[in-house]
Amino acid sequence: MWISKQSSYPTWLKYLWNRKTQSAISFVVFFLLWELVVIFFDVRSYILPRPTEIAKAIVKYRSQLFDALLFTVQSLVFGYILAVVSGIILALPVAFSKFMQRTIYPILLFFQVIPKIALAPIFVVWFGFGLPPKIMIVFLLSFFPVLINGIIGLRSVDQEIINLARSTGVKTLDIFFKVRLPSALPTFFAGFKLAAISATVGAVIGEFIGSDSGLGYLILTANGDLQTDYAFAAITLLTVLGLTLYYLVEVLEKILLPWHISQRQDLNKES
Amino acid sequence: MESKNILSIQNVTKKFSTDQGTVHALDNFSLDIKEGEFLVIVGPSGCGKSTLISIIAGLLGMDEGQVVINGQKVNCPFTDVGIVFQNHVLLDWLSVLNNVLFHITMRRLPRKEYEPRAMELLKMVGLDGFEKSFPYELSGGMKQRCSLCRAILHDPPLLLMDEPFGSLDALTREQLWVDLEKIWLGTRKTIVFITHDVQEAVQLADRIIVMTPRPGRIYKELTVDTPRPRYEKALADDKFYHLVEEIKQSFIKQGVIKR
Ligand SMILES: Nc1ncnc2c1ncn2[C@@H]1O[C@H](COP(=O)(O)OP(=O)(O)O)[C@@H](O)[C@H]1O
Ligand SMILES: [Mg+2]
Repeated sequence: MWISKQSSYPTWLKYLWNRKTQSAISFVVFFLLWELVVIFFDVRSYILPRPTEIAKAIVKYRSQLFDALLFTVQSLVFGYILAVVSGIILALPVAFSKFMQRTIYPILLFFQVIPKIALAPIFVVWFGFGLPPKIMIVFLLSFFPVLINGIIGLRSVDQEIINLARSTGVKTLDIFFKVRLPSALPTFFAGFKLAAISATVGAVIGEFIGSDSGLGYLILTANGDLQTDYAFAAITLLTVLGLTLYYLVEVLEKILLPWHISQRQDLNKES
Repeated sequence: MESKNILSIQNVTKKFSTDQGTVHALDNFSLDIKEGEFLVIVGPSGCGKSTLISIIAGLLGMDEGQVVINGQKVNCPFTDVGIVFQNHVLLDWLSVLNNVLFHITMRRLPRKEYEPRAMELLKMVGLDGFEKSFPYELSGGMKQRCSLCRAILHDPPLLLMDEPFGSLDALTREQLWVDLEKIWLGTRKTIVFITHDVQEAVQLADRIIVMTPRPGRIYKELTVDTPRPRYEKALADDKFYHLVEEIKQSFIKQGVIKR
């Protein structure tokens, strides 16, 4: 009964209309609509610039944007790496020992609940206007996703797998590093990805609160001058920055955990 | 029989204390298993079968009684048994070959010495050519074959199998009955096989232990003497169906199956 409808379309259209181009085309259409809506309703540039104006602004302010980007990348990368490393290092003992779970874990949960953004101004008081307070905020926002996911991953390893490992008669520490840790890696990576998103947010907040450089700072000043296209140019770079960090983590995950389920249930593979 | 007992379970009682109260899993359970015997324990879900397996393997302590394997009292994880778990529990990040070699690498035994044997076992269960594959590339039946190889690679005299074929489709399961019997006939290991499938029990066992609902006790003992290899013979054997019926009747009597 199912006669393929595709046969009625010309080949060049079928070629164009594959999965990847579908996503790309949807973006093009989105920006085109944006452009047209702004032109059609005669929206002022300082309220909503057209995509082409944003592109022009990126080219025009490229040197300022690049400097700001460098600054933001630094706080983002340092804060994120610090969060990932310390998150892993703390997750191990907390997951390993019941004692640590009873003592350290509640304190960590308590800190997790503090709205960390509220601490940003205090960090300025403590660490001044340079990189350190921004790194601290990025760290604080991305640390807990890494830690909590790590602990959950390490603690929720299937009991039968643990029994299998125990049946070899090896020491608990061996089981921990050879079986529990690899089993928990996918959950760890879920935390790394969540943290990558929080980290970008943290970098901008840090620069909003007290800074004289960075993309967040640019957005604030451009906004003050009603240079909305400039602000949007900075936002565009921030988005690209956040996406880049996220995909770097994902690429790393694909390399390290090729066996992981989430890699196999690839949405893009279904037609 | 003149052959000696390889496994002796003596008056084992096991209680779990949970938030909801005490669960009495095993009650004064005693059983002797002879060397080379294929013993099947069949019982309703939750009657303590997995608990029993864990206790035999030394993975779980008991409240009373003792387990003796080959004259050795079990009081910590006992490495001279092979265990096939209910779920295949292959490690996702290891290749089929490395999964089979799991005990060896964990215990830091010389890998090179065991590799040829691992390949041989994989071939025996029809997994040759798959040694570099990963578990997610295997079907359910292949995964269980692989975990069977893992369980017997270090050549334990006693093999514990906890509902190993429970999650397989009916045809794959029957194929594995045939294959397991072949392996057993070839190696003559002692097998303690747990199931809740009456058909499976009769198909595989020399001796069947029917358990009561929790707390697990022995309700009945039956012997199966259909000659081996058995699969086709059992199909034509009236005794086979009588045994299935007898076990099912005993479940009805115990109220496990309600009319
Ligand atoms: N670690 C545990 N803690 C508490 N209760 C348990 C534990 N393990 C098993 N039980 C309980 O003991 C009983 C027997 O369990 P199990 O041996 O797994 O049964 P079976 O394998 O026969 O289905 C069940 O009621 C189960 O809930
Ligand atoms: Mg069970």
